[in-house]
Amino acid sequence: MNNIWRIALGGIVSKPGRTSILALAVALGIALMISIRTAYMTVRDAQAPIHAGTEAGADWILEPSGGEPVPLTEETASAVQALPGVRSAILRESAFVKVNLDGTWQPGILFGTDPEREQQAGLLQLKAGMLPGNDVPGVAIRHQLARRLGLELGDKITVTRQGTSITLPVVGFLGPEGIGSASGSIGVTTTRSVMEKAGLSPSSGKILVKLENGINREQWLNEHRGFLRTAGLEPRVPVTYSHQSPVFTVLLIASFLGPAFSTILIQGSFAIVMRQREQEWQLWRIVGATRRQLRNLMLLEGVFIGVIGGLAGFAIGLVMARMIVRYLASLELLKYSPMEPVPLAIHPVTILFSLLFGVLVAVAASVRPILNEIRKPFGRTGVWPSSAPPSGGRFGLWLGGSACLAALSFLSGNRSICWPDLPVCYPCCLRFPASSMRFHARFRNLAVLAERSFHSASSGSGSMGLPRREAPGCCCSPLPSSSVSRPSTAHPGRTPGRRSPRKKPMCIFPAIWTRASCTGWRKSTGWKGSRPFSTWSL
Amino acid sequence: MSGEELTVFRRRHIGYIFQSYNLIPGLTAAQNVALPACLDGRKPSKAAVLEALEKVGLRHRAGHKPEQLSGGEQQRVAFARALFNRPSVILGDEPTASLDAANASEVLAILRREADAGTTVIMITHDHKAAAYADRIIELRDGRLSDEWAIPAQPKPFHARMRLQMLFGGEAYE
Repeated sequence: MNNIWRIALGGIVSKPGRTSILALAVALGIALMISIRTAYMTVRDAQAPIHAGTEAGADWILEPSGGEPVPLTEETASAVQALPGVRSAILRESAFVKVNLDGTWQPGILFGTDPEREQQAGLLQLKAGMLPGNDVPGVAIRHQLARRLGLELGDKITVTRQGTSITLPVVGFLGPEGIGSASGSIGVTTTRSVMEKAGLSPSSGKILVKLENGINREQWLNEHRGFLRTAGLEPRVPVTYSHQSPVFTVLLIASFLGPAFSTILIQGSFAIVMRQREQEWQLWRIVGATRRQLRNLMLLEGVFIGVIGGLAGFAIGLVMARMIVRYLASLELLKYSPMEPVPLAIHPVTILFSLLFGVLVAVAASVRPILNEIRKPFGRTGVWPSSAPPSGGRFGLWLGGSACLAALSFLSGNRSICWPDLPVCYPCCLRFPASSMRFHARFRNLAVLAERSFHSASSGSGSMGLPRREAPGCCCSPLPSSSVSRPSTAHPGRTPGRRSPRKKPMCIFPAIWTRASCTGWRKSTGWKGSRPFSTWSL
Repeated sequence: MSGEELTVFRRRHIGYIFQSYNLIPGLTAAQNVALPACLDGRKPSKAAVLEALEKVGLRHRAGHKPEQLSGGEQQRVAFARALFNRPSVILGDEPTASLDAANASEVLAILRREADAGTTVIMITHDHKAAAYADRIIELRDGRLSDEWAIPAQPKPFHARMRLQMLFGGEAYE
């Protein structure tokens, strides 16, 4: 094995061009995956608080109607609370303030409410610490905001409004669904009593109405519109910022397709190089390499290239991700996202998944062709050089599809979950052989379908406009008549040349890929397609 | 024998020489020569490898890769590789077909030396000159045995021209 290590390393070092191309393919594939996924997760994290919104969870928001803002009172909220179908009606006041952070004053909003009641109604969610109350004087802020500002529990926050200041400790962190600011200003939550004691007059107020389960909110509004009008309340729909940017959708789809594209890129590159190395493998067999040694050799090469490409891809991916995110931050489409400064959401699972993915695909793509080759007995290794041009083949599609499904299972957070709208979940396939078989069956059908559609699209004319039967060498076309073995006159019953009928290679990749591969391969090998090398008759 | 056993047997007892050299492209001449031994789990000494290359007159090209060598040199490296494991049988498939006359004579002389040293050399060739180095010639025509000659043992060195004359009357190669 030590010798094989040395030989594999020697093979990699001695062919820097080939190694670089393969490592570059792996690096680009991984960089693509990392950058898209990192960008997607960054945008997702940036948009998460906005999607939730400060009023998420409420059914109706009641604000003072009319031109003049009339201050809302607790009595009004209690009157709404007394209406049938209302689970809770909570008064929330707010005041524009300046927040002192590290000696600098920043714009902020101070919310005065009843945090405990809001939590009971599901209007806010405590992430850490405790909620401010009458016996717990303090403020709560969103945990994401605290992380951005570097605040911890116990830190003091000073807010000031119209010459009145109050300093309160941070006692709790709120979850994404809770009170806070969408972007820009700093949202600080406390109780109304604290605001009153500090003499901070609210600039606006609203009543958040949460209805009982099963109550139709439109119907409820129609029934009580008269009461609300009398009370001087104007209902409106809660702002939850549920609008999802098309950029987010594009990134979501891209992060789903990225692994498949990367797989096809890596596998295709390996397929081309490996096809050109078939002759080399025969040489190894001649020299005396056993099948196991040959397999180990390719395995080691794949691992080396995968690791090299993986590390390079990770570095390139981070640079690309930063560029993509910087570009996204400048887009008008994402103007509601707090994208500046943009911390890249680099999840360890993303890194591990990408590196593992690169190594696995590189190993699979490098070992798989040789596994096919070493199955053949010595001296019956087919045509040399091979008469078929390289093609990604069914294996590439299979790998790509698997990568897609694997990526899907990782999309939502870092968990493997079954999406109900998916026909099958890949991680489940690993656990349940029956699901795996169904998965294979489905995928085989897909592959056959794709192959048929491609063949039917190209029926009548083969590659480069030639009739299909006159397109020798294309992996989709039958063998040229000149290369088909005929019975020998000298030895009836024995066919010279090709020893065993070559299995027609499958071609299910897009035509452009196959054509490019065919052309490149022909040019690189100078193969004319007329005479198979068949002197392997030792 | 299993496939693995057959491979090991071939590796230890049979040396192959081809018309198209068949050196591993990424490896140097010395690495190519040492490869069968390495694959056999041994660690050949540098001196042994250089000695094998010395036998074919390529010690100074030990660090060169196949693409840096001429056809004759590549074929001689292939010879050194085939002979390095001291095989019992050497199979040659037109080993001189792609060589010029000088290089062909050189490699045939190497083969002859090995045969004289007790190694069985089986060679396929269309070249009568190359065939003249053999002790026994079997002629095939259209896949069938058509003729056979056996040349009696001769004192060494025995010039190829004399063998040719013995076989074909000599006029054809005068």
